[in-house]
Amino acid sequence: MNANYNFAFLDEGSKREIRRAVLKAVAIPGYQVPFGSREIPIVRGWGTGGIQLTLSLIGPDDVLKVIDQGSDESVNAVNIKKFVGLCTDVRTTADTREATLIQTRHRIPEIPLSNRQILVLQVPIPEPLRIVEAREEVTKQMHAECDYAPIWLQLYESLVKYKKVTVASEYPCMVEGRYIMNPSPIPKFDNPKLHGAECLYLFGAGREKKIYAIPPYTRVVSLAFDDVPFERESFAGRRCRLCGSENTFLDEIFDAQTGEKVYQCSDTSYCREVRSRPKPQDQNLGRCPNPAGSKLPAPSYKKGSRGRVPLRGSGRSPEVREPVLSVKNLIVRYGEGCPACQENLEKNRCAVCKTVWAANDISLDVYPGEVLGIVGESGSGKTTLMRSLYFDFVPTSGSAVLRDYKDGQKNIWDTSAAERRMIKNKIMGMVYQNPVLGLRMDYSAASNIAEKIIAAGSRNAGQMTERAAELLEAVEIMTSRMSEAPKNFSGGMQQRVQISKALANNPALLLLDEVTTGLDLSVQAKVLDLIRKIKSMYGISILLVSHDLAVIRMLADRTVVMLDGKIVESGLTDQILEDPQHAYTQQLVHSLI
Amino acid sequence: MEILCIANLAKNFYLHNPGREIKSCRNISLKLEHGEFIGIAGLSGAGKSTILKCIYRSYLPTRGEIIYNSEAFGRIDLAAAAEREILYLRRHEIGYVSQFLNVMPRTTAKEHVMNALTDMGMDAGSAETDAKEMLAYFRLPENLWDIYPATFSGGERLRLNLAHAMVKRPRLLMLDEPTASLDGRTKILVRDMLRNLKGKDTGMIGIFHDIEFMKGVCDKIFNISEGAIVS
Repeated sequence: MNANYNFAFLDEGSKREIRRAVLKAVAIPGYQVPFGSREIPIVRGWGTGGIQLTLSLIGPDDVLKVIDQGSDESVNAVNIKKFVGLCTDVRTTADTREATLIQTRHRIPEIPLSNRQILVLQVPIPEPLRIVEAREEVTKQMHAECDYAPIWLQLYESLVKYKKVTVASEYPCMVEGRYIMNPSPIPKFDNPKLHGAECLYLFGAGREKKIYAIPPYTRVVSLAFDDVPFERESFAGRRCRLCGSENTFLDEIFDAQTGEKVYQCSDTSYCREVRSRPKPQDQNLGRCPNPAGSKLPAPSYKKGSRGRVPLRGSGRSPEVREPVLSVKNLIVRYGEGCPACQENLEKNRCAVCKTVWAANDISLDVYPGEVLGIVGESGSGKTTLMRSLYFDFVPTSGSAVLRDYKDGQKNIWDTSAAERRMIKNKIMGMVYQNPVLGLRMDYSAASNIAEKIIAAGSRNAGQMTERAAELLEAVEIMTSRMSEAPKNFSGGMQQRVQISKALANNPALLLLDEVTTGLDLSVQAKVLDLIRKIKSMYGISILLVSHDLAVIRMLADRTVVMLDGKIVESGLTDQILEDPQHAYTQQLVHSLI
Repeated sequence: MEILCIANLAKNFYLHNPGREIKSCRNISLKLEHGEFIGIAGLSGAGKSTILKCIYRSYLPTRGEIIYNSEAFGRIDLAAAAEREILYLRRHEIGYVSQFLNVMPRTTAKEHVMNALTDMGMDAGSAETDAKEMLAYFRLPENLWDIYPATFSGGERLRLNLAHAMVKRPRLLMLDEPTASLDGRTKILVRDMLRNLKGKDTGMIGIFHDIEFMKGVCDKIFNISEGAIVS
């Protein structure tokens, strides 16, 4: 050992910091613990996270093994071994069984590890949700709330597009039923080895400054739909050209001279061990002893409550007096407001303090099975109301209760993000005027519908596809196009996909914001017809915003008229249109062409 | 007990532009028994339709009471009832036939009639049977049943309207010139249908320009002039 170095290079303070992070990571399996990643004389991204773990944990009695993609002899592995040797003098080995500490890049050895061994994995991107969400603060929140629907959607989308899950490495897994974890870029072949293993797995991401762990005997389940089981890469019919092993992870080697493809074990030390065994081969030779390396029973998903929600039938009693939605005194205000606001309003803006009252004391009820129309000019607060209900805006004050949420006892604006998501997914559906707001334009139409179903808890891909097909058929979109992305659809089709998405979980309340605006007449008729069918077939209550009075007359049972953030008149739709009371309504009706 | 009792009904329209009040009907009082048919006659603009629309609550009455004896709610003042109640009554008990057809786009004639029944909660199968029966009764040619009514002639539209209103056998039926453009033969059908409904205790109020027709079906005829009953 070079006396100029501290033992294992890092100063003791740094080691302590890292060990503390390791302890926390072990205590919360799968949770990414941030740590003060140190400068190491290696470029970030070349394994600095793994090296820091190794240096913090290694002791004089340890035996170190370093592998890179299964190989003990690759440059990265050799250099790390030399570096650690330089500053610790610990023995290094290629023998997996002999090592006490193994640092690895992108593979887990074929031989199951024991309870006296630690496997340190180098991690480039620790965040499993990064592919679906770029913002760190959002992914943190998603983990905190177990909001994992987007990653499931990613898997479903590949089923829709390619009929199979195409993720080959960094295959996400659920750790102890709580955190979804990125197992680092190991091939999914190695994923089962994480489940119920005897050894401790530690993951270090130096650049991203995260450490996480899988302690021994932890339940680690690779994500899979109930009806589409997780599958490892298959090397059926192939064997290692050197040791003859089947059932190990094989590298494909292409000989450009002969055009021949050959296969050999990616785990070089395992391959060597097999070859050194005495011949004739015993029964188990060439077979990986227990690839899952597990004493726990194989993981399985809970079955039961999840699954398709049956269509809500018609015939919900019209006599039910209790409103589905009841909004009271909604105020959405931009500005502080002043005591003289209400007397000094110019339209919806206070002349004194310049506060804009986008929604100024709005109260309304929506009853079961009815369509409540909302009319009013641009800027009258229609969309403010709708988007407040769908939690896109935070209202200044006011309350809204839903019959189907806590029996109408809790203000939906006084809820946690997770509760809001539940309400949005199960009780309400929203169709925006602009389809971009309501759809994932790059995901297939089927996935757009599945997104809602996944969020509601289903993990059955077949049922999702069935339901998506049923809904798309109902909105007259050919099921042959369900694997296409809505960005390739016409405006009317996008709107209809939005409607079917909103209906995915049979909401009790549908919010429709100018759904027919900008559509040509025949498409408009299709959408209107669809809404009428939804109303009569499923008995869903609808809040319908439109500035098109013809649409309102066709669909709405009752109508409220909004002006400058207030409701100026409400009544039966035909009464509003034939016997308008307020000056603005009269002007509106007289403007009908 | 009578099915409908109107007392001192008045309706004024206030037009904000140009800031003027228009008086339509004033001091209308009448009683309608079960199975009775009252005809309303009068010149255009006399306020005949206003009365019907006030009962149906398309207009908000300015003054007065409209007590309707409902199957679901008992005695209820239509002038002051909650919108939810009115909507329920319209779906289940009170019908209105005008000379104008109001059909959802892309709804066929048969579906239009069926919708009246499915809205009441009837299953689609029985609704279809009843709808077909009613369309056949009003002699709407069978090859038009699965056609969108946008292209129908005036007479065909009226017959569809009548079928839509009568298929649910309302307890109270308002008829606002439903026979305006019907040929003699169809008028006879309508008359027989109205008599049939009377026999089933439906109370009806109707406006007809055809005095002979009105005399053929109505038990009483009120003449309206300048918003008041004169005879």
